[in-house]
Amino acid sequence: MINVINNDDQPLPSLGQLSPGEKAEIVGFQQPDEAASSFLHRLFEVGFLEGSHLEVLQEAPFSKDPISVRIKDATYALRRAEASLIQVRKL
Amino acid sequence: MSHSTIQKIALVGTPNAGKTALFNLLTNSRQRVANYAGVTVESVEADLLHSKAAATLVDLPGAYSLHPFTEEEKVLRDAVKSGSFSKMILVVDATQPERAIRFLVEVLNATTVPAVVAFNMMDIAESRGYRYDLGVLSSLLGVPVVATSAVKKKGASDLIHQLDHLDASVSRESNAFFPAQEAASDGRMSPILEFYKKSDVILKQVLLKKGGVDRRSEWIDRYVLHPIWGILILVAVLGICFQLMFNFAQVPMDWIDAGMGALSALISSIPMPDLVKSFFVDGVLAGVGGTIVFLPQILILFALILFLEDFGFMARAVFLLDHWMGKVGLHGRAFLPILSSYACAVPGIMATKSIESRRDRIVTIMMIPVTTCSARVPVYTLLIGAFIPNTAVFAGLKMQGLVMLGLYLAGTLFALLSGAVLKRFFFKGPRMPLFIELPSYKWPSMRSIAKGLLYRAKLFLVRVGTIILALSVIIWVMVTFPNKEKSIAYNLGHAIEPIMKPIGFDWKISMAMIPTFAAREVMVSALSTVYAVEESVGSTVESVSGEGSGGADPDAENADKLSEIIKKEWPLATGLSLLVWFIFAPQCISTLSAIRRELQSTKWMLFLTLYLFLLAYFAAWITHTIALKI
Repeated sequence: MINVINNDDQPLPSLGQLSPGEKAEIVGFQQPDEAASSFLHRLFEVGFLEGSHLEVLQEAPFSKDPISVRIKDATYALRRAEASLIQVRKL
Repeated sequence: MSHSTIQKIALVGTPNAGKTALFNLLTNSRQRVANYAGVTVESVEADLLHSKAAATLVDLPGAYSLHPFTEEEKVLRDAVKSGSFSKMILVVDATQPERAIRFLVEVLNATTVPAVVAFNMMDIAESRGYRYDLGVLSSLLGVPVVATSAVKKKGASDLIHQLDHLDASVSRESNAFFPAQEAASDGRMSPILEFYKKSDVILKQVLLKKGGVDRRSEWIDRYVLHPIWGILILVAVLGICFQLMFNFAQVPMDWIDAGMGALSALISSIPMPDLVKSFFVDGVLAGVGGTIVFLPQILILFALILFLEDFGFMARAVFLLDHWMGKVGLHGRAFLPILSSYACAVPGIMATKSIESRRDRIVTIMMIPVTTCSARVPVYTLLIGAFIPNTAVFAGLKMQGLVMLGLYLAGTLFALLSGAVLKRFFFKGPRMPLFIELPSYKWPSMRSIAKGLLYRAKLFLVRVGTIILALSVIIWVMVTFPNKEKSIAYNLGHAIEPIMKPIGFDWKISMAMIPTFAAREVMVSALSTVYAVEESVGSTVESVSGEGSGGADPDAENADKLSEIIKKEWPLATGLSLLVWFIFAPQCISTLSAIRRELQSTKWMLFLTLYLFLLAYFAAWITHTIALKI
């Protein structure tokens, strides 16, 4: 099962909070709402799974959003809002 | 049923796996629109080269999985499951092992159609250090696996050989190794995870050595996505696109013009009745020639788009622009459809399929008809040439060029404005998430681009040879019969004139406007035909009194001549009003039918037609009124 994290005492950082150059490991996913669930499915498909390692490579100029993330040798762009569904542990 | 003897083979693959390059490597250049049961998306098909049996390869849209997220992916899933194809070629990216194996496992699991796997971009994967045991992969999956490199033209004959040896009549046994994966859509994720674990078991046996990351792409991205360099590069790329489109295209456009002139001179020199001569010169050549001139421009723009997309730049442009397009309420993905629509609205509208949300798609489609498509360019060129003095403004910039740029900006700004208004008041709602791969940069296959261009050129020429030819002939009939002085067009033009008078259009313009609903650029040929016939009336009268059977003089420099005529005949206010009119309207039938087809809605199409017509009328009226006062 997907590990849904609901830990209020010590909130883990999310992918949405990382800066370029930071590496992390995926530890879980926030409980998605209806719309986000289909989006999360897409992320699973390309390898955003628990235990996967990722690295934030770039952020878009000025707005610092979206970010580009390397995972499993591929690079994807996503917005910080959606990236915050992914709970990570910094490496 | 002679058609059923030709095998239909589906080309199925993940995005950025070089699927289209492989398609172009495997097929001849007779590409055409693919039609098959239950599929509404436009796919391209062509005949397979070097195959023993006659076969047609259909290039289906790329997808990461069969779980539909966008319209295109839904098309792929339906096509794979439809049973329309007797065989499949599955294309995956060898530099993405996990994704490749998962995709193969999923597709092979979903259908029993016999398949061959093309493990593509193998050269790049190997140079980065990846080593595979494709023999093991083949035996685990139960299908032949061939290493290919579409850009380097490797592996094609092996692939065709394997394909020929597949027996289409024997359906492949669905791979019992994997359970069905349908349950995934209800939100429970565990079945997919199970499924992925099993894919990973295969991966472990197949991937002998993992390669390194793509440092080169990372390095290029440091500049392309840089706050300052990135923006400069983007602006420069767009600037070069438009520069090439207008300056580079000029030379071949002049050739086409000269060719048409020579042809009409030739026809005029053949002894035949004046009416027949007039049919060919004023009807056929004026109309078709006036349109074919735009072929170079359209091809240049498409060549650039194809190149930038294959190179990997387009995805970066989406990345850079997503935030700013968000300000207008749009998705970053709307960038490519809007860019394509500078060449023609129809491919732009079709490209909106990659936008996930219907709401965003509608907004994007509503913006496209006001971006300045290349069919407006001839009209703009004619009017600017006739009414705007080409005085130097500053630093080598000329007035005419600036007005042209202004018209482009006006269209673009209005498109953005209308997008923002629609999004704010009619299509409120959350933005769809952005998810786009930033693929490795790679040098595109020129052969693939050339074939893509050939296909576009063919589509365009077919359009010229059918719709535009027919319309030109109809217009010619309308201005020629029952007689040139009181023709059908004359009467029709006079009938609409009262409506058009407030915005400065006389009956001739009104008349020339009618066929622009078929294609905007016909405005120029329609005006040419109207005035050419009128001229020839004059010259026949002269020739009766003078030299005898000289007949109508062939107009070698159609456009220049027309420019002279309208300069003489029209007040400045009319010219400006017409320019403004063309920013908004009229919409051509191809655009409207593309909108109807894409949105499956006549209501939206009618709404768009009416609102742009009223807007065009209003804007032209203001322009005309102000211009008269000055």
